[in-house]
Amino acid sequence: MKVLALYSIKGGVGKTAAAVNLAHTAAEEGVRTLLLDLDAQGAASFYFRVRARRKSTVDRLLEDRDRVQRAIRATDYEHLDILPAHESFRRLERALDAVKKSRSRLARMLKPQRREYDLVVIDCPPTLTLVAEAVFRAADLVLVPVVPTTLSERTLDMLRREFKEQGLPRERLRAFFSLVDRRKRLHRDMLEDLPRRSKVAFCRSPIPVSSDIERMGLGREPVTRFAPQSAGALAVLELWWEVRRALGMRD
Amino acid sequence: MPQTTFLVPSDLDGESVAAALAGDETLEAEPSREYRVRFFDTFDWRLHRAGRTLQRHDGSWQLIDLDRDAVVAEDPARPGPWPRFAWDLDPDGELRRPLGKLMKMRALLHLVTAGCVRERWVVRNRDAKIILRLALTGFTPEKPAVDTRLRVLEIHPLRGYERPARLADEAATRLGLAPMTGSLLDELLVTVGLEPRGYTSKFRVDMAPTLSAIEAFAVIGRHLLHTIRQNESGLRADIDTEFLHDFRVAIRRQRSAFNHFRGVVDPAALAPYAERLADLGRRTGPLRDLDVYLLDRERYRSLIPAELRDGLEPRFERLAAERGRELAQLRRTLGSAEYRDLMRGWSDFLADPPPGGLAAISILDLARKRLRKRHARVLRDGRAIGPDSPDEALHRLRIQCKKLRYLLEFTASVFPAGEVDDLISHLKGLQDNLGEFNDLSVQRADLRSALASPSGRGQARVQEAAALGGLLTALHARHHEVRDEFAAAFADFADPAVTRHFATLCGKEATGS
Repeated sequence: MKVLALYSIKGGVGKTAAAVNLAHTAAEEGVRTLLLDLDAQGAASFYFRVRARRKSTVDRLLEDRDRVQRAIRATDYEHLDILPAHESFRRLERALDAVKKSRSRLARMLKPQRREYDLVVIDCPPTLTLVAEAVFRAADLVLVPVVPTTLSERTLDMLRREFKEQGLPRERLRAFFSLVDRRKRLHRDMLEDLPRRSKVAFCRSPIPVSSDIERMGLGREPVTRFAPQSAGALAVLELWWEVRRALGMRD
Repeated sequence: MPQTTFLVPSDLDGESVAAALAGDETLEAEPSREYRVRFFDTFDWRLHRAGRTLQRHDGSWQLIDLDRDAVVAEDPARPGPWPRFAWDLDPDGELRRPLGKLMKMRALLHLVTAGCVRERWVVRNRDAKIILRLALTGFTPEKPAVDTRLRVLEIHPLRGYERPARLADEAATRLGLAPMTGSLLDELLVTVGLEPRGYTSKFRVDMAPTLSAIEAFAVIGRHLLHTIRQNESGLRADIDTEFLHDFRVAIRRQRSAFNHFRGVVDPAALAPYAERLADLGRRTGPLRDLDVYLLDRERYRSLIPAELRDGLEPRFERLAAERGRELAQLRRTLGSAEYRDLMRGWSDFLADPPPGGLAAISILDLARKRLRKRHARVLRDGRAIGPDSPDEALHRLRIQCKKLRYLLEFTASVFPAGEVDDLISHLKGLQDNLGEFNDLSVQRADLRSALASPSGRGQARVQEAAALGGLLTALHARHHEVRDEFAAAFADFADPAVTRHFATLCGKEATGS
């Protein structure tokens, strides 16, 4: 079982859409996938129309593995289940701090899922605190959406230093361009220059800003489902191939 | 929460069943699908007995686990005729190995073909999230064609949405739908009037210990006659070699019963049938011998060095041609008025066999009496065999063992369950040793006579002689090994614990020691 985390310290960069679309694409290939919606806003859960059980609160999930089992629900797609966000996930930071061995807690929580899933995709909350640290430790690959702007470059570098301070391997961190608008000069330049400059490895497939992806919220379906031939969906597919290779999963 | 399955009667409309199961939630039909399935097994249900079936579906051959209703192995279907034997399958495919293990030398027979229409629905909650999947499949048997249609409703729960599935189960029960207990294949077989595992080459009848010996004779005889008749058509159609084998074994068992039940039936009335059945048995011998050779073709080849192997081929080709002639001969026998007359007469005889002096004693008493003697005889003859005893002595012991084995099988049901099985397993070890020894004796004799008059000319003649010589050498070595193993095989059977067990079964002190 491999763990892929979608992480961004900034909101609105296409992180949740990427998590949803990548998870769906993997499942379509027959990879048994669990999407873990840790973002209290619950956008990923919303896309899949799944509500959390009332009792699946963050405190219970952290203390009881059986709770985790019961909190997982099927999506409408084969091979794809989700652990939906519960409103209590807003307290995730505090709850995690309250338990022993907080930093490795998430990794241990996921361990029993090895029997049922080949891949766990985590949609992380936009924080750079204990939760992020726990996710970084649990993940085999931390994938960071980067909108091609100057500010994003600085944020990415901050994250790289954070990884270094925590003693995490740099290979675990990977960036991809998100919300790319090729009509903008700046975007085209950044696409060209940033991967060369940055100490963080970049995926080669940028995800374009796309009306189809924006429409995901209306139809509440992954773009790879309702418009599989759209530029957005095809970009996701190429990104998935790169991620799959980076995770060392079979073609 | 696993999937649940119900049978739906033909007068219930699928859409309204689905609506009832959806309750207050939204029911949405998905596109339905039409396809055809065909099921296959060997005549003696080897796949079914292993909890498997072979299915032709969607352009592929699938080995199905009946309990889990899951595909275990799958090969794409190739154009041309359907595979008959495991060795007809793609050597690199997934099916060849598992099917070969199960089927061995038996052929695949078509069981049932059904045309299917699968209707599907999803049930959505107020968020339009799918919380339950339903499918109703109608199976119309096309071959054999029957008027009844089998309709199977599947309720597929989704993880984390167990409640809607439970409510649907309850709704199905309220509608009076019966849960499907067996596999889909079994339901289909019953629909077309076939009994799953309806044939077995093992002998098994159920008799009360108090049944009179003459009644028991009739029960056993009718069972064996049924086996003979069941194998006739497969034998005449030459589907595989085992029809003849089972046909012959049934005749041999019957002849053995004549001996075990002597005194029970009027000997004068029985004599002509005993004579005619013996004659029928003899007529099937040559074909069976040829079958055994030809089935062993690959094994024989593997026993000799590669460079000698092709030398065996002319011989196998001659044997194959001879087999064709023998088969034609046997077909004529089975098609003759004489054979029909024998079957009819024997069936009438068994309906009301004329009694002999021992007719009225109970089968349990008869069984004990005869088992005691048979067992003692095997022990006595076996103990008399030493390292220097002639092959003939082992051959005679083999026949004694076979008689004892048949008697145990005939009467197993009158003893407490499992008692006889345990004894049979000890006897079987000894029989396996003696059987292999005998086979090797016969094969060596055949090879010697083939060497005495080699066929062909020139180089071909030399090559055949070399191959036969090589084979003879290999068989000779194995023959000695088997002979050496006899002592241990007999010691296991003659073990005091086994002997005591026999004595208990026969209701008397240990015999023959």
